[in-house]
Amino acid sequence: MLFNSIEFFLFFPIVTALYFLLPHQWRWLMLLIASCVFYMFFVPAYIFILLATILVDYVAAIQIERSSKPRARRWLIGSIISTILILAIFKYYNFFIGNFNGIAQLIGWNYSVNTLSILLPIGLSFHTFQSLSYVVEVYRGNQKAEKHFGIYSLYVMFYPQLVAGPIERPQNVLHQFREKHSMNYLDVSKGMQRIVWGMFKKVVIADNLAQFVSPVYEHVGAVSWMYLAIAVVFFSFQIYCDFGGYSDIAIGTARVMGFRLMENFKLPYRSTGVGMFWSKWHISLSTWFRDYVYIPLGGNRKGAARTSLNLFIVFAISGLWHGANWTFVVWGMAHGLWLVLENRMNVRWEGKLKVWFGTVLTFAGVSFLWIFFRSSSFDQAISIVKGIVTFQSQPGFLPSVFVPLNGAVIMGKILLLLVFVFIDRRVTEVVFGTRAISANQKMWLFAVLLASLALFGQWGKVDFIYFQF
Amino acid sequence: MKLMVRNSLKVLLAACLIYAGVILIFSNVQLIDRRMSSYFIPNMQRNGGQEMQMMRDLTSNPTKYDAIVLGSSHAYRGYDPRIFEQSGISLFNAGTSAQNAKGSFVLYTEYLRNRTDFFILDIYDPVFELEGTESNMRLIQNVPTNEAAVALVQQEFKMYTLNAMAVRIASLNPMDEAPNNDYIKNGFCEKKGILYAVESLNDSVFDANEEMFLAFEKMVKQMQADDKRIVLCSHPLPACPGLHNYHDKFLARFNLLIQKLGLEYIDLTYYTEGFGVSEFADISHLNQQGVELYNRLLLQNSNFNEAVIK
Repeated sequence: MLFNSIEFFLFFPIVTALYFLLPHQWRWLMLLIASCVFYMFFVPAYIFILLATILVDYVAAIQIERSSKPRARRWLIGSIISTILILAIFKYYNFFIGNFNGIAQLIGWNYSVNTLSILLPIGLSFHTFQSLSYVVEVYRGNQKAEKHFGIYSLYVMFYPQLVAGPIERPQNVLHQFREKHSMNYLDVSKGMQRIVWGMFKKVVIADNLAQFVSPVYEHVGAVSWMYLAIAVVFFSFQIYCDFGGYSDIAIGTARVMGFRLMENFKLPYRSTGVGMFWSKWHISLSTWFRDYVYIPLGGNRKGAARTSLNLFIVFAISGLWHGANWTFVVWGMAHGLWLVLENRMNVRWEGKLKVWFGTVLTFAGVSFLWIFFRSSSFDQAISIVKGIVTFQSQPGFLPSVFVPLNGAVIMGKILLLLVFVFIDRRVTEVVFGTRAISANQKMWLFAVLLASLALFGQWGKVDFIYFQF
Repeated sequence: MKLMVRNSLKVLLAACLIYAGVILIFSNVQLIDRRMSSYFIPNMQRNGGQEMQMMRDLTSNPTKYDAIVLGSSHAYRGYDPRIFEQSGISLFNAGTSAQNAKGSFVLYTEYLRNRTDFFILDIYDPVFELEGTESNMRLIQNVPTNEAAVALVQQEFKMYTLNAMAVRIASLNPMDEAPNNDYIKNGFCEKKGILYAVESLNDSVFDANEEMFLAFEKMVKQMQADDKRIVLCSHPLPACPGLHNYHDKFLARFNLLIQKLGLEYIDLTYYTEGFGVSEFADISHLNQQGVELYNRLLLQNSNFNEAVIK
């Protein structure tokens, strides 16, 4: 079920009302059933894959807690391998086989393995990582193994963050399912504000920009450099508003029921360097990689060269986590390289003008790398870069898909984006509770956002970009 | 709880006020050559485009025609009334951009039912895939009566169509917006230029929108109940990779429907004789040279003639 669908507008109030109406001891069950329904709206059969992950890690965690260290370690490794195996089969099998076949062909080996015709279960990378974090934390002794299978299942399946995070830690969330939440004004109001802001980002900004970005990426050779450059900038905001919007809705939905999820975005495009960018972008994933890959690899404890290598490895894996395509790997590696260089050069931007310059430079770099993230192939990415730097002129008639995108509509989208850039920090601070405004101002602010949803919202069936991961 | 309900109502009320205010401004304030609404919401041209010109032609002249065409841009750019007139057939072209069966149905019931006994329904596969909202929004802005606009909103009850209706009601400025420069008469637009490049359809898979098939069936049944004669037509398309695969998938679904309804379908999608690059304006439209060729082909077609003469 999509957050921006009519089904969700019915599902959310019903589930929330039931949650508060039911006695505390039945709430977990209702939430679990609701989460299953939410997930099964995509491909129902894939719930069994989710169930397999849950079962493996549930049993493994209990065994880890009961066992001596060496035995616990074996359970941990077994659990990690089986969880990763599920991810590998469904997400990376075709990628590896494709590469294997390519290499076989290159060396003249007349042998090829068939690829599988399977759909990637939605949100697989998110819930497998969440499940893994639980097993590791139990092994490290930071979390007690959850004996209640239903509560543990809910930890993995809790519908607001099931398909695109935030990737939670057991210490933050598991205990909340046992706590009794009563309906209170602050939670409902804060949660609703977050949902409205998230919807605005997704439906008004991201989906409006997507209407221009998608046709440009599909017709790279048929448009001018100006279209390409606009599409690159638009995509930077599209992905931010799409994923940031999803996270806001997830956090807000949980908050209405009294649950606190971790923050996932903190105004990332106001960063003055790539290091700062990654501390504000998809925070739940960055910290996951920090805690479970970077630190175990040695982190920054083994000298400068090893630190750089560790960073590079983490970002390469992070790229692969995003998608089974070399474009994602290169995107991740480029970020890793940039971060290594930034750390080595110890770049600091101080003073108003320099901070502004650093912010623009970081945004330009991140936007440039998004080209590889968004492109379906290297050829496409390179064509875009080439088209921009050579000031590619409009080679012929625009393809018919651009007919509804006349100059006036493009201008409208640019204006919408400028308004968003102006209000983003201000509204984010209001919903985070770090900027105080009067009750009246708040009322008008959210009224404007609601009216904008009705006026400019793209209420189609536009998936969230991060669902594919 | 009381406080929550009161504050929620306050925000909702304020949102409604802002919505109404913005719609009023967007519908009336002109920026360069169009209303502000056109900049922010596609297909929001009140009194605009070919739809406006076609509806004006249709309603200003109460003539009864020998044939009326319904369909998408294939229709309003593919059937030239001047050519049919040379064969003694008076024709009106009531096609509009991406027009689907829901829009056609409203046009039929509100304006066309008594204007002819013979309908040419132009068939273009993608129309049976789309949701059809954009097309209906354009019609909502341009049909002359509020009853027809309301009927269109009912056919496609969505935020977009409600916005289109709101702009229609709030438009106090009677200016015309972005008329189609290719418009000739009786709904027909002449398409200039020649095909620049053939795009591949290899990655396109026909993805049926069952709602559109149902709407089509409903419209045809209504026409049949009214004793109207119907012929379905598709004009040739430029040969491109994947075209057969795409159109065959459409036919697999569509043929079941036309058999059930007992309709005649003159499908020239794959017809190539005489149709080269210089007969097409783009990947999916004929240019004027192609239209002349196609219209003459239709006029020579015995099934078509039989349907007209009946």
